[in-house]
Amino acid sequence: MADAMVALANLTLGSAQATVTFASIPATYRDLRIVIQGSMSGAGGLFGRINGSTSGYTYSVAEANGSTARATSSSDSGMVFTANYDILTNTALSTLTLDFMDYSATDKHKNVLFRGSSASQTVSMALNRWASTAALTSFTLYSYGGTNWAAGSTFAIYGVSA
Amino acid sequence: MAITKIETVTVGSGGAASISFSSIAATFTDLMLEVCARDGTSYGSFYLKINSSTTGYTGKQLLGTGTSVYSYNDGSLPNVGNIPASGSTANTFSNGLIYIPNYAGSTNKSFSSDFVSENNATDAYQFLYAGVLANTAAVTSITLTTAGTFAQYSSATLYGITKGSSGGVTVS
Repeated sequence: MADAMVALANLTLGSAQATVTFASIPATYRDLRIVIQGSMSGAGGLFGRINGSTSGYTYSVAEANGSTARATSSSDSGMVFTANYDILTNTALSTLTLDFMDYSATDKHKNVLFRGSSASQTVSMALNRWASTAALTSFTLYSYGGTNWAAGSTFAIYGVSA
Repeated sequence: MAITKIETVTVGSGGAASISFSSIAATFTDLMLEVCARDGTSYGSFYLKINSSTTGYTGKQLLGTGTSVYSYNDGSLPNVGNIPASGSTANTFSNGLIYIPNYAGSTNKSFSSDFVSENNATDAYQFLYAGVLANTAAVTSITLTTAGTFAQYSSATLYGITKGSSGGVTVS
């Protein structure tokens, strides 16, 4: 019996860097999951792009910072959006997951479910839609504000079969 | 295999004060805990303890009640969810997922928790939690408790998640 969930790639940063890219993703599975535990050189947000695309994204976010809870949305964000409050910091590790359902389908737009946990900053959940029927073959993670992923941050991607 | 079931604990007749997992091996990369629980008393708060640590935690909560939304800072034993209690609709249980990445590593332990508690009434909860334990020891035990006691049929299953490489996917 084939495994329902397969580990595809992983990375532990040996030194700080600005972006992290998952690439050469085959159309073998139905869903993808990315798991991140990391910090950055300063407080900042987390953004992503599918196949390098800079357009066609919409999002809805619900988040809280320990005193205020809020919800926001946008119909044209230019990227996969995860939180308005800082979801990454240099003072504590964050736990982040991104789920891509039917990522390789060519008959539907792509949904991305995000869940972010930063005990010193923000708890967040977000739904994104990329208005393209192209199969997802790469995903790049960016920081906001010019901060870098810190050394020791870990990244892993898994394929989930139907 | 990327996901491996480690153990399932199911509460029997009479209930239980806690649900525990011990002697957790450092074999995997991450831990994932699935919970389906009910409190047999009039309380509903659900707590997570890593190893024997009762201090050193920091957390943030996002809580929806069906009519209002709240956010709190949490600095004590992590209140990572809210589960139905004796005053809730009969036979309703919560569903929750707790994720601990790099649990066997030598850094502080961050974790996330997502809980929903169905109660066929207005008062039902959605609960998101961001937590960290300022302790670099590997996670070898997990203890779940409520403010009361776990009702019969409450259960929790611990899974190990293992990173790896396959299919030519790259990350850089």
